[in-house]
Amino acid sequence: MTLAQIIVVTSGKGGVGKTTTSAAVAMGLALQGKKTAVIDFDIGLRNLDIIMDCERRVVYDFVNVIQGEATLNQALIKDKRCENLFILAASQTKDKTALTEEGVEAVLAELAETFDYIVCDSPAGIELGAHMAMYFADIALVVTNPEVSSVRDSDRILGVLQSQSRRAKLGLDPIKEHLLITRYDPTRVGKGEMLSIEDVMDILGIPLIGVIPESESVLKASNSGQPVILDQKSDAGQAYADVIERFQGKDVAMRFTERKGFFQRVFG
Amino acid sequence: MDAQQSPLQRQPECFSIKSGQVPFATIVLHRLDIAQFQQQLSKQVELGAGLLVDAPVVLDFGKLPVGEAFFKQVVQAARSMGLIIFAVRMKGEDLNASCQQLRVANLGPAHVKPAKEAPSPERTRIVRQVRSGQQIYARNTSLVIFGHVSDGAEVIADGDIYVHGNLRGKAMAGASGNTNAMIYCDQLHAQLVSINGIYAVNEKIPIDRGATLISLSENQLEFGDPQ
Repeated sequence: MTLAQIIVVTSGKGGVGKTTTSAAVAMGLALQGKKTAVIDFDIGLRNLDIIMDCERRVVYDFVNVIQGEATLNQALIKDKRCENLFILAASQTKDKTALTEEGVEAVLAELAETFDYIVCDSPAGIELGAHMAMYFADIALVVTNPEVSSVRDSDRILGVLQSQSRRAKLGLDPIKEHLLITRYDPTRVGKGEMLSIEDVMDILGIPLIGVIPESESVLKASNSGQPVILDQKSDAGQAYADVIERFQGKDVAMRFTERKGFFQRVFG
Repeated sequence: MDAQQSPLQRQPECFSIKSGQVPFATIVLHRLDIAQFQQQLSKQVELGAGLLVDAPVVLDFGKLPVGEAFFKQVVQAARSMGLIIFAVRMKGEDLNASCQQLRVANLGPAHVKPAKEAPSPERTRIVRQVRSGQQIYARNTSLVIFGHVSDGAEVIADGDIYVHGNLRGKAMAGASGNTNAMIYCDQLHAQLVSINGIYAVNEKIPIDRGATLISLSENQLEFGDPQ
């Protein structure tokens, strides 16, 4: 019997790359042989199934399981590319009040018995959906764009994690926090149009697990339903692969954080 | 010589009257037991030699239903041990004649203030970063934070505030009235700082000056270097 680690992918602000990150991280862990489930907590605005290319295979969803209309096995969608990866889609028709603490806990507890990792894709904001996604977490991936409002929202979310999560309420060890900077553009940082990695780290004060460069490959991957980590030719895909390595305790140097030189721009 | 002086040539006055506050001790009685009173007081006088002897002292009877005989006994007992009983506090005016006889002023019952406790020397200590949206209020104490105070966070104390980190959010010291309160931070990038309600917002706050001690001087915030 395994007892899964629960990872919440959160940010506060919308559009920073939570779902992209959830899909990439879940796929990355599964490719490493870890049995992984990824859950979309964005009830009513589901996206994860699109990015994971299983939209048309959704029969039962997360809310159906919570409300006892389906079993977990009926609702879990097995990924076609990796046998260790399962997706639990959000409901498109219900609203987020369908999420209850007891219901979410029961689903997570059942998953935890057979999975290694449960990745919870949080909706934006700090309302109920985001609260449910982070409440039971052991590990938080805080996704931040290098701009002021995103950093501020991440700071807010960190405060919520530290005061309102289950671990905080029960006085257990705090949630392990990792900072993931996405959509990083070294050229724009050089021009002073974006915060630097150092700026972001100085404000948030949590350890950095990776920097994902701004990349066309992310949009391409989303549109084609391929988690970007599967595109190992792309810089973003490689950066996510590095995140998985670091997540498992390996010491991997940061890449894609310097401005491209002339030759790289021409040939790279 | 003309006995009448013109007002302009009036002699300087011999004295003037000032109202002021003089510190004095108050003995608050809890029960009507003269033997116990004498016993406890003599012990107290022995212990704190000089603190009560030859010092102005007020006897506070509170709401005790004190009679004339007991009243006189207590005042005389205290005086015989060297205390200068110059006033009493009690309910009602029944014993005003006795007061006159004993040459003590009746100040009436003590004001029952919804006691605003003096800031206690204890500190509220926070060992983490205070993040956006979080508010910490150290009631009646000073606040010590080992960590940054993020933009959008608020730290408030009735006493002083020490931030061993970068102060980016709002800090309000002396929040329920204290002109002596101070704010210290390792780095100052605050959105707002306030002492005793006197505040400065971001554009009025000198930034990038490193460790800063903020205090109040003549109703103006002063941004100084720690000594």
